[in-house]
Amino acid sequence: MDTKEGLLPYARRFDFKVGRATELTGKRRRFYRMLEILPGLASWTTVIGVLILSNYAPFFAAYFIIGFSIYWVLKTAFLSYHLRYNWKRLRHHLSLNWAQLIERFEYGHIYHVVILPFSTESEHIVDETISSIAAVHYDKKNIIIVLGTEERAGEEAARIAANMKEKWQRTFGNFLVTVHPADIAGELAGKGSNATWAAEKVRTEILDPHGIRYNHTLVSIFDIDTVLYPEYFNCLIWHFMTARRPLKSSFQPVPIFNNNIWEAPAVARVVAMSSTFWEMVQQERPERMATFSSHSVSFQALYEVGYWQTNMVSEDSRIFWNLYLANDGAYDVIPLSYPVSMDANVAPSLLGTMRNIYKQHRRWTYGVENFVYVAYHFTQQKKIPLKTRIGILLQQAEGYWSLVTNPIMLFVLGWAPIFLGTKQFHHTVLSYNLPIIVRDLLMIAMFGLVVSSIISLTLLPQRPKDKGRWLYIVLAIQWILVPITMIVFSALPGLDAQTRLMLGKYMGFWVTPKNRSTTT
Amino acid sequence: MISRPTVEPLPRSHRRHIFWLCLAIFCVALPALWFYTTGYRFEWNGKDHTIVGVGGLYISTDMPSPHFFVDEAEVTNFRLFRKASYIQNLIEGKHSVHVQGDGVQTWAKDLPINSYIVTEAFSFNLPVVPRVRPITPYTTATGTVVFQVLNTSSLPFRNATMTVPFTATTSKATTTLIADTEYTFVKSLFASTTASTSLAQKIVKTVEQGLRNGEVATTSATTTKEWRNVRLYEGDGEVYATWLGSADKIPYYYCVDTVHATTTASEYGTHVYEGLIDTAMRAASTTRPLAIASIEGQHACRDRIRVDRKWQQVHWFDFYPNSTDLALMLLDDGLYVVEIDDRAWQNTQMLYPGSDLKVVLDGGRIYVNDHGYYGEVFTSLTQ
Repeated sequence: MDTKEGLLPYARRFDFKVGRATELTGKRRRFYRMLEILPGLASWTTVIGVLILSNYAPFFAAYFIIGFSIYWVLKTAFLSYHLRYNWKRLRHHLSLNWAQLIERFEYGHIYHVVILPFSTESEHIVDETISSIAAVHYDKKNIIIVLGTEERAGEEAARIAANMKEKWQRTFGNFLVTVHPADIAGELAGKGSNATWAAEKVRTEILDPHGIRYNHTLVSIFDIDTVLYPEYFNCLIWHFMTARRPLKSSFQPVPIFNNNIWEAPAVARVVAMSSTFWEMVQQERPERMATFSSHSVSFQALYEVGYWQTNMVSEDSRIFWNLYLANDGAYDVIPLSYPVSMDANVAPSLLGTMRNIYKQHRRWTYGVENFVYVAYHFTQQKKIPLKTRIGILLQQAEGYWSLVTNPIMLFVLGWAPIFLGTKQFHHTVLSYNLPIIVRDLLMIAMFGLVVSSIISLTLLPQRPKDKGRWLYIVLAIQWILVPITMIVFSALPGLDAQTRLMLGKYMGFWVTPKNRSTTT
Repeated sequence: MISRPTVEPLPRSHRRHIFWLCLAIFCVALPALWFYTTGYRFEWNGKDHTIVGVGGLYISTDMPSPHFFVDEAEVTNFRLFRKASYIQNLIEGKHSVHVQGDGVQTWAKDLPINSYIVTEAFSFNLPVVPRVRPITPYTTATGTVVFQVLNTSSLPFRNATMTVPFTATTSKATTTLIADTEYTFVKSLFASTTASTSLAQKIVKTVEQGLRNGEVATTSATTTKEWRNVRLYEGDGEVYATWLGSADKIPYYYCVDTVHATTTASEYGTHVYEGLIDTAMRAASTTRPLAIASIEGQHACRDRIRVDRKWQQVHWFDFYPNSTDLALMLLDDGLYVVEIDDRAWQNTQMLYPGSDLKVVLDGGRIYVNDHGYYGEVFTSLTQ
């Protein structure tokens, strides 16, 4: 969208869609750059600070680590409680007949635009996703499929798109294939730029010509591996109809990364389920939520901010902050507590899987660029109450800081005073009790994993016939890998991402390769 | 018909209550655990419910299933580390510590415990009955050790258990036997050591030197051994262990945590306090890294410890294999292992009894020559 027509006032600002400091000038640039440095600096200061403290002030470091371990136990209990509650709600929502629930609403005028950006994924993955949409309990004539291809993906992507259109266009109200041109100036190649191109094409080629109102259109942007559950659109309509401000809300399902879970190695399963669990926890804390991965939002809201940003990596969360700022803070994320299935990160080899998980999580944790964006705009957007702005900033800062530092402090630095402390410290009862107490506290915290283990078993798709029942035992005990996965696939990629941002080595969008058996 | 899901989102008030509950637990648990880990305990027993400071004991041992006793009471609630055990909740004062096991000698030590401080010790427990693997010139075709003796009732290593099958014969015939190359090797070890070749000469020399000083010589082992920053040497008729490394790496038993003239002498012995003073005085005139101007009230270390020789003559000494905490000493009545730690009496355990023995260390193995019979002496029951 080239013009500022239709944009909300705040969205008309020149810096509304700033992606990085280099896009600004003068003081603003320096301020934005300082904010980019801040998260990495805070994390590195913490990690190095604990090491220095352990060496020069081991008593203080030991007391800090004990306090931190208690905090971790309580945080685990607190989050486990939320997780268990959301699991209960998720199962309840899965059991409901949503079609019956929405009978009392008039919703026939609402259209669903489903945007499926894809790049080099294989045909059967695209086909399974569209098949699942075709299988939903909803009037398919009110569903518009937009298959967003990339010009740079070449002829193979065009061929797949043509095949899909041929196969499915009669099933849905409309089926549009868009081709996002390569190398548009100022764009970062990625999902955001593809989706924005597709959304504008839908507007100009379908909505406007057919007189479909933007406020009667719900956009669902799904990663290409997203498989829908049958009641998704009914559930979405119910929440849309009952929302306090439906046009000022995004609707977030629970992404369960289990399409190919039976093919995934243990480490990939743990990481995938952990991501799911985090989103489940967030579903019970909607005031802390930003949109993530696949989600739905009204076209009106998207149009008012000019769709997704095309110049940054984590557009799925950024769109929420765009909407929040442009609407002066009067914008919500509504948790659906209804699942969509996605792929766990699986490569042909274990090493490849681990490499891909690391890269995927580095991309996710590069979402720290949103903290910079929010912090910058909170100094500009004065219509949002100061208390709210400070609260959100602190939440965001704590989130990105703890993501990186907590696992390292717990599983690595917790023992630092013992190895680095002074001789005087080594003779104390405190020195001997420190590893014991930290280990005991972590063991208590591990009980939270029992909850995770039980819940994960209930979220599994049907076991393929070629997989033995003994795998259930492996699936139950695989959670002992959590300390490793937290460091290798959470803390380290997070620190990597923050360091890159800190040093001004901005990341590009890395498309997670999708590997899924054709038999699933 | 329901019009909305019956499971509502988690109410914010509910979440807030949980948060405050967690915060309250944190506020209570934090100081409680801080005090606990530092060494404070609430005294439930007795009339006065008071808070007391406790210390700990950290005992390293190579024994697989040790039994610990503190003040004659067995301790069962100790924390097991890889090769050590941590005993907590010991009230300040001197405690009698025993480490026992089946078939091994008891290690015992009276150790002072200070509040909030952990006292370290290394216990060693040698077999009660010495264990020897005989090494003979010949073996049978099946590998059985063959002793060629004058009569079969006078077997060697009578005071030890032999760990391999053996047979004794009065026959000198060796045609059906197989020569053992290890025997040749071990024999060569003894032949090449000064301990075996010049012992008599050294005794004469040392006795002469002792007579010049007006006292009877108590050691004939004049070699100096150095390993991992510790020097074992003979001086003034005694064997000493001296720390040569940096102050921050010094083993715990060279040091005491708080130094007071009266308490240090009574808790550790006068020799420890004098050792500290001696080290401090020598340090004052040198640039030794252990230098301390005043040691009163400080964690302070000596750099030299005398190794107990049980009032016997020392014929040979060396480090116990792979240890700088223990010394091997060949005394008049046998081969002993003596701990260097002298904060209480030095545990001395006999490894192999006998007089006129010769000993050689090679590659961590202890070989003994008992009147012409060679054998490897084992230090544990599991070897």
